[in-house]
Amino acid sequence: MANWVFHSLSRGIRTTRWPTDPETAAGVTPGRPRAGVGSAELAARCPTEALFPHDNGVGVDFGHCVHCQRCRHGDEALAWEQDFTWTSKPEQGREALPARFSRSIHVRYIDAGACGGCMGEIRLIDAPAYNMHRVGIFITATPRDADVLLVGGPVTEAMREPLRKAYEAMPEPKRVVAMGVCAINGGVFGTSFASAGGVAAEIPVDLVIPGCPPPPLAIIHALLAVTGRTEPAELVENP
Amino acid sequence: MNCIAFGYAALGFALLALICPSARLSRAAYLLGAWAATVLLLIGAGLALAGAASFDLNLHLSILPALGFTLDPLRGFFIGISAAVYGLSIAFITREAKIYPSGHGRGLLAWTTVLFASLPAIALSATVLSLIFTWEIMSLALWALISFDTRNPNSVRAGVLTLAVSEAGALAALAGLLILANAAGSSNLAAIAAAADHMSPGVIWAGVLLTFFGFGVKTGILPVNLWMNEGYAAAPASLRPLFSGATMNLGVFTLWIVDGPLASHALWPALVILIVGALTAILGIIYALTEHELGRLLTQSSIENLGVVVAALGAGFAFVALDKPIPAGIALVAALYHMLNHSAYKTLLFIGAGGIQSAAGTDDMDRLGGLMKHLPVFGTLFLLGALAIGALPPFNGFVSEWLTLQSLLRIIEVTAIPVRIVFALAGAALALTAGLALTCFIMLAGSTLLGLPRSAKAAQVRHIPASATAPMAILVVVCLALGVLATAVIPVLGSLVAPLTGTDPTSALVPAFFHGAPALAPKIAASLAPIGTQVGEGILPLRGLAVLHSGGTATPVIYAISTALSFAVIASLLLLVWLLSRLLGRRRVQRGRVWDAGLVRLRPEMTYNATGFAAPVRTVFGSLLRPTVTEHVERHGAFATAWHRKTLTVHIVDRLALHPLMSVMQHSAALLARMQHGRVNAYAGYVLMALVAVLIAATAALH
Ligand code: SF4
Ligand code: SF4
Repeated sequence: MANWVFHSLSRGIRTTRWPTDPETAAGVTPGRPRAGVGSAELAARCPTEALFPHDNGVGVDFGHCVHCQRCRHGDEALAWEQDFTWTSKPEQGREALPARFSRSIHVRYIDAGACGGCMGEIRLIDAPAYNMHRVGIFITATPRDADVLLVGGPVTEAMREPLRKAYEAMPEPKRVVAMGVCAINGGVFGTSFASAGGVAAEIPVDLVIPGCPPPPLAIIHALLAVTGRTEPAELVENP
Repeated sequence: MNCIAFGYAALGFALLALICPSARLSRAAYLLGAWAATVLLLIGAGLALAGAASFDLNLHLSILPALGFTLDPLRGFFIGISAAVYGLSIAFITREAKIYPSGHGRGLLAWTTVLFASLPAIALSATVLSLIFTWEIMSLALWALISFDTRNPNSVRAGVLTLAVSEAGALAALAGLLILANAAGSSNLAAIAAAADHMSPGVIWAGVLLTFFGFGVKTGILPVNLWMNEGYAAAPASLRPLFSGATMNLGVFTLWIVDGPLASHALWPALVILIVGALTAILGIIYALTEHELGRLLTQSSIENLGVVVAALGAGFAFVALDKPIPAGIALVAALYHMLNHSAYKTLLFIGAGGIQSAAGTDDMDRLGGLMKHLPVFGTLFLLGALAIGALPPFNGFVSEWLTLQSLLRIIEVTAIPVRIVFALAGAALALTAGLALTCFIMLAGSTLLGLPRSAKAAQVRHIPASATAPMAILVVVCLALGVLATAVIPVLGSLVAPLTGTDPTSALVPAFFHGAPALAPKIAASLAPIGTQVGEGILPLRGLAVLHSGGTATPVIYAISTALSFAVIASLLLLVWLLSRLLGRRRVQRGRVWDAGLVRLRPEMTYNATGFAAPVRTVFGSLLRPTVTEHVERHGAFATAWHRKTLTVHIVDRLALHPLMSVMQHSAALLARMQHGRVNAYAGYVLMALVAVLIAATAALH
């Protein structure tokens, strides 16, 4: 029974040290393609139209990429990078929260019609391997206490009103992070009578996390970026 | 004497005023008389409490021999409480009487006056006869007020039950008193008390049990409180403050006057009182939590509070019987203190509940809610009352509950194991009671004042009359004062306790830190000085600000509290925070909609209500409450379209005592009814048989 003590001690600390130290363990991220040389055929290979032909090759709009890896293999493959610092800031996004939030922020997650993939990754940021509390991230039960609203999913018709109410219920200052390609532009669900096609259609969005779903470290990266502890990246990359 | 006689004269004037044809004039004159009576009785009671007035009055009427009345500080205390409760609630009663047709309204006020008039009279009674006589007036007035709304069959039924239980109780009490009077050779209550130590155990047991349960009908002790739930619910809401705040205390008075001296000489009768009190308290609060109507909840809570008082009295009597006068004094002080506190906050809450009922048309907490928003003043007063009864410092309930529990802990000074076990179990029951009481009053305040209004009428309440809010405001101040100035109250109560225990417990409970050397080990006194026991010396006309008791050398357990100093600290901290937030921070208040978890349409019925709040308690005590659940599903083809679920909780006393008793009675009535079969010959036979029986009995008596 007391085995676990010994077991745990012998395994040592497995929690990631990112962002203090780099994290390179296998599987922490599905990775993503980088813009590079390629023909229009390569761009046409992408099922979500994330690739677009450019003067010098093929550019990537990460807001659509679902890491299907079709552009990674075969001839004219794009370079593939195992990073996760994907968060980016849309044009209308507000600046980072003031410095007094930099040690702790309270987050309310809203599932606005996500497929379940995003939810699974959210649960992982509380797992021992990622341990969100070590960087001062807390999940609250009500938007009344929240500084950040983290939204996944394309915003289904039924979730429009609750999402807006939750946003209104939050005290100022508040920020919204849209998580996953669905929340950015509808993703695989697109825009339809049942889907608003992204969080920005309903409430202002300050940061977006590309990925379908974004891995836990990408979420943590975004929540650090909300308070200005990390820098956001670009959403569209030209070759 | 004079003041009290004039007080009764003023009450007579108030009664006469009811005859006046103009309704407004009559009401005004009635109120004037009532308030004059209150003031006069309060002065009389105050003089008696101060020891400046006392009398012995013996009336020798040919039909009612030995009708004696007397006044001493203890009686003054009870008269004072009754008068204060009456004076504070009468304006609201008068206002609410307007809802009846004029004649009825006057009748209500007349009966109220009779009820009130009987209370000081009971407290003044010096003989068995005057006690029973005045007690019966009170019982009849209660019955008249409970079944006042004769068009309502529930009221009539509740009235009949009340009358039956009261009369059975009064007869039992009379039997007990007569047994005692016979043993003492005098019908004077003081003589009975004095003769208590010569009485045989059988007489003491009979006397204590008969009078305790007989008079206990009004105190609400188990199992004779079976009339109260329905009775209080049937009475007009405006009268409940008087019922609960004043009449219940008179049961405590008889317990003190009649049973106190007896139980002080017999340990086990005292322990019976303790056990019954503790059981009453715990069952009272459990049933209070199952109620969702304010009136019924407060009634059960009154039963609970009086249970605490009775338990503390039982503990005190037991300590006297065990020859421990100091712990006895502490327990009895706790009992009187708690009774006083109960009168204050229960009058407050019942007036509040009456105000809510008359404004919202219902006192069902599941139909109320959100009153704080439109009635901030009333809501605050009601909330403070709930805090007081929930025994939260700095209010008064805390002090007396704390004293009660501490006095039970003094049982460590006694070595007999069975007694210790009884005390420990009673203490545990009372501690659980205190916890449940807090739950109960969080529920009460939360579900009436906060959230969304759960009915259209509750949403429209904008005004509660000043005849309700003004007395409530006074009572909040009283509750706070009784809580903060405990060291001013305890000496008064201590002097009332002294005749029974032989020692005034004041010096053991409130050390005279402000006047020379307190009765404490010098080391303890010196070590307490740095934490402020001397603060206020020379300014405040008190013995000290600390309530402190240290056991003897064998049991050196100290417990201490200073309600005044802790209040001062809390108040100044709050003030400081407020000032700092004013000076330093910019106030940024954002007003938004109610957060409803994002529901598209939040309906009031979907919100958390009292029934939901108390559900865990009902589940935990499910085996005790044994609710009958009836379920009924409406189906349309394969689909269930509606699901009805009804839970009916029958009070345990009704289930175990009243219902079996009723079925036995009905059975025997059915048997006797067989005699009525309509044959004249047989009836003539009955007459003949009765005649023969009487003749035989007469002959036997002659020889
Ligand atoms: S990995 Fe991304 S960019 Fe490449 S094909 Fe798949 S979706 Fe398109
Ligand atoms: S972004 Fe991908 S994982 Fe997230 S909800 Fe949309 S489809 Fe699911």
